[in-house]
Amino acid sequence: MKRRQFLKLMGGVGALSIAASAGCLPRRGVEAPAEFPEASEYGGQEVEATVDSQTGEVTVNPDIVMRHSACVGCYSSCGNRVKINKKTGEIMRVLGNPYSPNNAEPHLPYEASLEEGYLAFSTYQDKGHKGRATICARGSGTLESHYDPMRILVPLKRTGGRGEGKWKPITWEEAVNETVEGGKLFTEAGEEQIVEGFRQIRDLKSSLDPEQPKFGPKANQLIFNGGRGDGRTAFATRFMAAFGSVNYYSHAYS
Amino acid sequence: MATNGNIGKPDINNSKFILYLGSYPGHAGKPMQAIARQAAIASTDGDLKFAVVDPVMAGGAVSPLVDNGKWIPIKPATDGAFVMAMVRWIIEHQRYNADFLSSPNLEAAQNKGFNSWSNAAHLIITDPEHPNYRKLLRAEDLGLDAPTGEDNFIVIDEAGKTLLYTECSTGDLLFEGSVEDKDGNSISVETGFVALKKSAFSYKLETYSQECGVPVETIIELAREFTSYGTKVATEGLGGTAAANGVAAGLSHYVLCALVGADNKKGGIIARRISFSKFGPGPRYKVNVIPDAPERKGMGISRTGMNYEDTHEYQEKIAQGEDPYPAEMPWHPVGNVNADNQALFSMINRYPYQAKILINWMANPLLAFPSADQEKVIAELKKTENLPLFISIDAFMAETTSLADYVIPDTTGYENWGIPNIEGNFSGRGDSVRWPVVKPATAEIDDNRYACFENFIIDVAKEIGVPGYGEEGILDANDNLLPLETPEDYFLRAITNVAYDQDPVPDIDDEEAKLQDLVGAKANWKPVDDILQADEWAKAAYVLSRGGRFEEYGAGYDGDNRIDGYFGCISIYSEWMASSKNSYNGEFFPGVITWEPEKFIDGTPISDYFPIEEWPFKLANYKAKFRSVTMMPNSPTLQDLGETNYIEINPEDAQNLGFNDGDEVKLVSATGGEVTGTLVVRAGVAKGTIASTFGYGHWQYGAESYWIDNEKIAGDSARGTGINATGIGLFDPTVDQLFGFSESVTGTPSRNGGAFRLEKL
Repeated sequence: MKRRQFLKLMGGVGALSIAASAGCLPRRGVEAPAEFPEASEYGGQEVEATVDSQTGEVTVNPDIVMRHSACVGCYSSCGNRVKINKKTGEIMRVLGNPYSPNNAEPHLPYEASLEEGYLAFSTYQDKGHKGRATICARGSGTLESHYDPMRILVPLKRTGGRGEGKWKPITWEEAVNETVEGGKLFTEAGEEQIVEGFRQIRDLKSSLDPEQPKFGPKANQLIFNGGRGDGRTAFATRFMAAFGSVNYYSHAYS
Repeated sequence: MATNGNIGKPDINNSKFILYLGSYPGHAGKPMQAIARQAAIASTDGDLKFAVVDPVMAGGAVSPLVDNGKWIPIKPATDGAFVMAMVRWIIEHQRYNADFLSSPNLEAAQNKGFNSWSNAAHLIITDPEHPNYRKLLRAEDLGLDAPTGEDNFIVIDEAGKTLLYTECSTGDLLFEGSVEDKDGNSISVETGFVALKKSAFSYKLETYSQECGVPVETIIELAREFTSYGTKVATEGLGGTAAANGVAAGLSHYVLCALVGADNKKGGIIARRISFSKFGPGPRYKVNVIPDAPERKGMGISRTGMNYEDTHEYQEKIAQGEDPYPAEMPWHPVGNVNADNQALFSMINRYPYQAKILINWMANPLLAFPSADQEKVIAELKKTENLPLFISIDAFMAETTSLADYVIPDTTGYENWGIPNIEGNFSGRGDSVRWPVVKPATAEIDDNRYACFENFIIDVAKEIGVPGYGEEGILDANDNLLPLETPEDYFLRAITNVAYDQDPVPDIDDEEAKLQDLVGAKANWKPVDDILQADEWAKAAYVLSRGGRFEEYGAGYDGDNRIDGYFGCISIYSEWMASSKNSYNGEFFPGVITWEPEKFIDGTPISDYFPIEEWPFKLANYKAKFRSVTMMPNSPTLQDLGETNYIEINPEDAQNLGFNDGDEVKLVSATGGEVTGTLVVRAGVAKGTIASTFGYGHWQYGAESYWIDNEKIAGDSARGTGINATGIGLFDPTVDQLFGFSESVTGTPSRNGGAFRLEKL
């Protein structure tokens, strides 16, 4: 059954659907089974640890690692807790970071051990319920974006006109060399124009318009537009400062 | 607005009343889930009340379960009328905090129990003949001795004496009259507060109410609530008030909070993004200090944050004896030079100058910028004469990326590094830290280097010898030059700064290092021993293992005061704005907030071009819960949860048009854009409003097929559902060039408002 149909049958409300997609849909109105069923029977996942609900003893599953990092489902910089299969290197699931004030109310003290991080999702002292570290639907969706089969993994160069959707893969060296040195780059697309590369544009002495020197040097003709506030923009501003162009843009207005 | 620094966000956990204007608690805002949680707890367990004034009822923290939160509908792009009505009532009924407003400097305000200050009592020169007309009065204007190199503003104290603002504890807030300079010449002046009062009193409450659609009694009720809890009140607004007349709405957050003195107070407005030292000069490294960096010169291409009067074009016209107005294209003197939307419209018009190379990095301006998602704009971007080299660095074939010459693959948030600002609604200091928790899927360039944004920049910079990259790229705290050849070189050192700032964090112990499998993680990086000092890794690893560094819950206060914040002047009167001119008609902009309907750049109200009878709707663009700005149409779960978006209108409007819920309709913008979608009729939309979520209407991002050599990458239509209503926003018909309708002072795009109509299919 396609997930979409499944959800329609279940009357897919937000939280419920998330649970369903993660394979842990609660079974309501059914007597508790005498024995807890095998997770695989319901498509569930191997757990990262078991916790003794009486003593709080944590037994970590050695095949799974839980890493705390930051989400880029939007630009709120929430934390996340990423469940990774150590053997395959695959991400199994993503949760909220219990150490981050953006995820949990209240968040764990900074000195709290990583074991506390496991307890924060457990039934021990009801920690996994009250103030639980959460991640929103967007944060969960990032995992599917990460594994998007249409992700771009190698440099591409257009072989048709702009926007025609015709590309060829090129090597990293070609991508760097062609954009740095410029030249007649688009003959394959039937274009004869000679394009200036980064090397020609990084001219800090000549005015970009000799009649209007206030516009500054030719280096200003490099424009950078990066929309994100994902904690990497400092790397971009540094480059534009080093390159010598004033034209750095980010998510300021739009 | 730039004049007031980054003041902050409501301290939800300790506040008594919050007015959300252009931001929806629990639906939008950063981070929406923390805001939702805090607003829900504070308004049910606690005694917080909040009101959301918005054209669209979006759910979030407003729910039938919450008695203390309510939604008040307002017409799009009329927030300015609403706030001016509030300001008028507050001043008229003397509900403002005169103790705060009359304190002309920080010390004076702090002595009275506040923790910020404003220029409400500072004097403004109102004499049109005076050379400093519209500027704040300074000691130099009076011929008084004063420190050189500083702004020596002047106030009149309670005894009627003119004093330097730093020497006065209580200024005369209501002064309007004249002062004498040392030669006995009289200069007419008024205080910033008087200027604000005059502006607010320009219209009656009934007029404001008619403009914004909020009943007078509701305005009064909200104004009374807002002024009933001392400094324990706050306002919040984000892009929801971004409109072509949005400057009043944007600045009103500063003004309203200043009317009660709520800034930097517990329960009031608290600064966000209080972080540890990371990229700047830090305790261990100076990662963003570039050795031998060139001096940057010249004017940005955005025409924003700079004066038309400083251009050659203006000066040439003056020299020729011509009227310098209008400029060839609009300039926005009081905006942020970073105005990305304006830069796009400059590039496609080659004005004020030609762009040669565009690097677009994980951004999708065609979808994100109002008015930009239209054939006319796309056609200009396709022209190589407008933009000779277009490189996009992206993980997906997004709309803007699909028009590029070269696409450089980027990593995802599970594969790359980052230290984002921790956004609003945490009172303490903190930084989230992102690190590669799995090996990148992108092409491996060489040993443990993967195709991504940082490596492209590094390799280009090394190739042409840009300073600050390669073997001698980055400085430690003792100015030793170290290599910058991989993302780890940069980010691990910045993370080490975070770890060592103030009291250093603990070392990670062996057991926890094993739990995080740090050995496994490091296997995909440049050897850490080649990057950090031997003792640094254990602390950096502690930060990684917690996903950042965060102070304890409830940190950041000293008694009733917030420790960190913006302690500069809050401008009731913005001298910058008041002394800047509109680049089309040469008129001065107002220095205080004021109500204006939407106008094109030459000052013509848009209703003169597009009468409301023909174009009865304005757009309210709000965030989709199950999309994220232009991202994630490629998540099947989100596709299931929010399959598409709609064109949403009020039941009365539907009835007048004879339209029904579920009809297929065409949304037409007055300058020619159109999209078709499904009508939703609901009472949660204000009258005269087209509500539509942002994040749908993709025509690439995998929705459309493309070819790599002869291999077809087949498109998936599930990614392309719905519409992008803001994309068909107006072009400004008073500008010759293709130009997205924008606010004249700052260049803010018309994300909300405009002129639209609906047609049944």
